[in-house]
Amino acid sequence: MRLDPTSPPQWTAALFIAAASILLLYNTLPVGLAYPRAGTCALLLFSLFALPFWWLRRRLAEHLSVPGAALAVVAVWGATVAVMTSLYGSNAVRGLLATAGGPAWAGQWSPVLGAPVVEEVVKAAGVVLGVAIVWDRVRGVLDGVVLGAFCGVGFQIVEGYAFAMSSTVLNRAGDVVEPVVAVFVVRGVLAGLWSHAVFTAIVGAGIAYAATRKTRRSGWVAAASLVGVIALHALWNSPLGRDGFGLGAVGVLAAVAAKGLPAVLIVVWIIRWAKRNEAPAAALSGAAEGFADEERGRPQAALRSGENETVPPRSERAVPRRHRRCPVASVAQGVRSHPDPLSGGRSAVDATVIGASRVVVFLASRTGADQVGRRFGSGTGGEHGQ
Amino acid sequence: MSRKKSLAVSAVVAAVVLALALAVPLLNKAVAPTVDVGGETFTLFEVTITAPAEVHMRPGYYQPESGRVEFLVGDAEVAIAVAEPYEFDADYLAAEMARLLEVQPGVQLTDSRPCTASGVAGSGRSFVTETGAGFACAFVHDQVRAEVTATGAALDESTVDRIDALIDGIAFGEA
Repeated sequence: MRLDPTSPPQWTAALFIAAASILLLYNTLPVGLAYPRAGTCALLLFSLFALPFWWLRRRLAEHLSVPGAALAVVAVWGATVAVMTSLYGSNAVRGLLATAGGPAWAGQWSPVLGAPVVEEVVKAAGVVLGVAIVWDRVRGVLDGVVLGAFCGVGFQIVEGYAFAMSSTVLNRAGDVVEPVVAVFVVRGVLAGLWSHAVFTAIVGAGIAYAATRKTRRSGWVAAASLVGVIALHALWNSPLGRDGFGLGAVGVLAAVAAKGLPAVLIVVWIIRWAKRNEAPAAALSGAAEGFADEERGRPQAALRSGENETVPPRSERAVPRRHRRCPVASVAQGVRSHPDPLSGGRSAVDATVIGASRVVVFLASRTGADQVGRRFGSGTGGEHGQ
Repeated sequence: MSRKKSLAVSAVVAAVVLALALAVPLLNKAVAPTVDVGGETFTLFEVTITAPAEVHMRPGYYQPESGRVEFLVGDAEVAIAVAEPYEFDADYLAAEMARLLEVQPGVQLTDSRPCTASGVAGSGRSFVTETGAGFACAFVHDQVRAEVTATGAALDESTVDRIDALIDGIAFGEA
C-alpha cells in the first residue's frame, strides 16, 4: 500500500483516525496515569489479543493479497474511530430507548438493540474503507476476513483495556492489577474467542465478496453479512442464558459457548470455503500481473516457498478440482470465460478479474470512572460487555 | 476503483461515522428533554435517593443496574454512583476519587469540604476546572459506598445549596 495524497479513502481514514485518537487519548490517558501499574498490565495483557490474529494472517499468508499496512490501518480504525463512535452512538441510542421505553427497559435492551448496530456498522465502515484503500489488492474473501478480523481485534483490545481500567477505577482500591487480571480472564480467555474480531471477520468476508464479485447479488451477500453479524452480536449481548439455566458455572459456560460458537463456526466455514474455492493469492497475482513465471512453468507461489524444484510445469499440473469453479483461478489457468456460479452466470472475467482493480474524562464535567463506566460498564454490553 | 467511486465510498463511510457519532447524540438530546424529578425516589442497590424540588434528569441517565444516576441541578450536573461491598472508609474513597480528578486536564483540587447524607458523614473535596468548578463527596456506610460528583460552569451559592439538599436525600439502607 503506497501513500497517495489524492486518495479520498486514505484521507478519510487519516482524518477520522487522527480525530478519534485525540479523543481516545483524552479519555483514557488520565486513567492510565492515575493507575500506571494497572494500565500497563491491561495494555500488555489485552495486546495479546492480536497474537492469534497475527498467527491467522501468517497461516493464511498464501491466500492473502492485502498488505500489512492495510491491516494496520483497519486495526487502528477499530481501536480508535470504532471505539469512540460506539461510545457516543451507543450512549445516545440508550438515551433514545430510555425515552421510548423507560430507563429499566433501556438498561436491559440497549446492549441488545443499540450497541450491536452501532458497533458493527462502524467497524464495517472501517473495513469498507480498508478495501477501498487497497482496492487493487483485494482478491478474495479471505482478504476481507483478515481485514475484518484486524479491525475487530483493534476494537477488542481497546475495549478490553477500557473494561479492565473501568474495573480498576470502580474498584476504588488503589493501583492494583487484580481487577485487570480478572477482567482479562473473563473477557480474554473465557469470552475472547467469539468477540469483535470474529464478528467483523464475517462482515469483512461479505464486503470482500462484494468487492471481488461486483454483482448485485454479492452486494446483498455483504448486506446480509452485516445484518447477520448484528443479530449474532445481539444474541451474544442478550440476557439469554445469563443465569446458566440454573446449572451454575457449568451452565453459564455452556450458555457463553452456545451464544458465541455460531459466529466462530461461521468464520471457520468461510475460511474453509474460501480456501476451497479461491485460488492462492500468488496465483491471482500471476493472473493479474501477466504470469511472469508462466513460461518457466513455475508459479510464483512455488518460487516464494522455495519449491522450485518440485513443482512441475503448469501444463503438467493437475488443477485441483476445488479451484476449477473459482473464476479467478480460471483466469490464472488461462480460461477467459468461465461462468461464475455465484455471479449469475456472467463472464468470470467481467465479474471477477480483480487485478485490474466516559472514562475518563470528565472533560469538564465528570470523572474518568464515570465515562468508562457509562460506556463500557453499561452502555454496550451488559454483563458480557461486548 | 475510479476516483469518483472511491470518493463516493469515502463520503458514505464519513457520513455513517458522523451520523453515529454526532447526529444520533444530537437527536437524543433533541427528543429527550429533561424532566422534573423533584420528589421522586431512585434506588441504587442499598441506597435510595430522594430528589428535592427543581431537580431534573434526562432519560437514560438513571441506570440502576450500573448503580448510577445523574441529575441536573440548575446548570450543574450531579452524578451519583453506588457500589458494594467496599472495604475502605470514606477518606480512602475520597482519596481515590481525588487520584482521578487530579490527572484530568485542567482540573485542580482545592480545599476539603463537609458532606453529609442523611446523617452519614462523608469526605469531600472541591476543585476547579478550565470551564467551571465542582466538588466530590465520598460516603461509606455498612460496606456500601456512594460517590457524588458535582460540576458546573458556575456553582453559585443557591445551586450548591440545592446540590447539598440532593446529597442529603441519599439514604443508606436503614441509616
